[in-house]
Amino acid sequence: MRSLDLSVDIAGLSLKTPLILASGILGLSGRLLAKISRAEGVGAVTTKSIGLKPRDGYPNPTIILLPYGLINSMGLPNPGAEAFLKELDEAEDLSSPLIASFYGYSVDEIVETARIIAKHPRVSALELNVSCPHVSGVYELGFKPELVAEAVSKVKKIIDKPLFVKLSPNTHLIVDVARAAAEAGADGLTAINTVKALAIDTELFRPILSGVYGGLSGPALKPIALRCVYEIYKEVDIPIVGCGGVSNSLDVVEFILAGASAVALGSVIAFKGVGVFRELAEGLSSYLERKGFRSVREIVGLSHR
Amino acid sequence: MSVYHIDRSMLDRHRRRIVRIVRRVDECLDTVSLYMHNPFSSDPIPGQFTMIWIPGVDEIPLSISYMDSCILGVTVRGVGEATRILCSLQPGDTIGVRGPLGRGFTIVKGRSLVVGGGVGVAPLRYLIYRLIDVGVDTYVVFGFRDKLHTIYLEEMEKLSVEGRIKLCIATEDGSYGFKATAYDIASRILDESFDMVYVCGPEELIRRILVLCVEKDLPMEASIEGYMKCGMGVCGSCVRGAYLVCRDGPVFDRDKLLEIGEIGLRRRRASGTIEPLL
Repeated sequence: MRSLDLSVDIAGLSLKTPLILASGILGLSGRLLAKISRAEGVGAVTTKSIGLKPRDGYPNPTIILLPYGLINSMGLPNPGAEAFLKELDEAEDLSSPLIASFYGYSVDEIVETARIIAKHPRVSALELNVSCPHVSGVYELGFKPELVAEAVSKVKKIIDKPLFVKLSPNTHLIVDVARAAAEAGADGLTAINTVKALAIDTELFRPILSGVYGGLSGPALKPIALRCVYEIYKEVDIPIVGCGGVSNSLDVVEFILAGASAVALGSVIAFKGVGVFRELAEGLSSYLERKGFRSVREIVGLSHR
Repeated sequence: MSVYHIDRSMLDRHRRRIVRIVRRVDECLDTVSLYMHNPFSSDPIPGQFTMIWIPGVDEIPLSISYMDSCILGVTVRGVGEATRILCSLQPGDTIGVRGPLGRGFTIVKGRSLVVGGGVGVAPLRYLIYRLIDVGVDTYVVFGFRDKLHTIYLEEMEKLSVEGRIKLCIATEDGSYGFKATAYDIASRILDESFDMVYVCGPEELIRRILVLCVEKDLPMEASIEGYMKCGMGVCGSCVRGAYLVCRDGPVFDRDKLLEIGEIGLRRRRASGTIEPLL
């Protein structure tokens, strides 16, 4: 049982807990997103990344399970922005804010996609994905601070909802991209997307994933994600959603101490199911109580003192 | 359980094992059963599935149609690129296998009705052997398009002659058995004496049997399909209603099938786009 109020406000969103369903995880169906939004411990849910047009993604194999995480190369499958609006119509009884993730191959396409999905009343905020490591065109955008800034400022001009930018760890410029996004008007940052990775079948002498490269997520990613959040928090003033390899409540605490105002869960759902939200919320609550804190806000960035 | 919460059994089930095909059986003109050395370290439950990797082509879900301590069997109908290539494989060829995956059928003692249509009979074959093993009074109804598309016929008739199952075969054109659909036959047989109804086949069949089981208040389980990608409950591609076929299924009970609602009415493509079936 949680006795402590875990609610947080981030970039204009009010969340019951700081725990968010990360993009790419289960977020295809409106009905399933709504069901997850009602699960105990969930603060917000994020959709799969939506583009302007439908995309099948890559043929299988698209995922590899390792003792320390997952490598996925789904290839951004999605039904396209217009069809996704109908999907959201089915997301009845949403009980947490819904963040719509989206992408584009160019600034124009990003803006057009944002225009379509932002108008749905069930979309509380948008998250711009410029960091998918297995789809070229989307992957490289996230390395270019000036392009990210241009996309953010153009999107912000046409939407009246908070905009997050999901950052790529596959560049030494992550802080520069974060700063550029913030200066261009982004309301928040999600750090990080997966790390570009590879696996080879030693019997068949070939890469396992049909898309060859994939993104590494799960426990192996956590220290890298934590370092990114820490570095960004030092330099950039907008709120950060920490994301990468969280598997227990102390991982959540670490991200918040590093500077995250909320934390997104992804791969851990493959290992523990949706019930993990409740487990981590309870763990976070007991941690705060044990250390004598009354809210999540009190420990955001505390490791920087 | 490891400190990272990726438990060993999950790692084991999702490791792609490269195995050699030891035997192929042409079941009918477009359907083949492939047999390989059992790569699993745990005993699968009937209704569970495998992900079969054809390197360079695709990795697709197939239900387990045969299992003993040494041999794993799957039955595949050639309908797309990956399934046609699988149907062309010969003994000695290699494929990758992971599994057993998903939730299988619940074995209920007493009297059961097993209803299958087309290649949907694949998981039911393994189920039938398990039902016989535990002494369930098993009534089998299989329906096919015509005689040329019948599967497991000799095998089922042998079980029937031996008195281990009661069997009814139907073809739509009457070229073998009754001229009827599996639904027609099942709807005549179904009464309150059955303790469980198992179904796999075209969704139209599943939907109609579901309606019947709800009317008669009979327990029912059906194996359904979704567009499978990760097979481990994380990508969401195989979602039906608010359930994942790979993790919550592929076998669902009557109440969950009702909750899903869309059985036989619509499905998703690779992109997640919904297409109507009617």
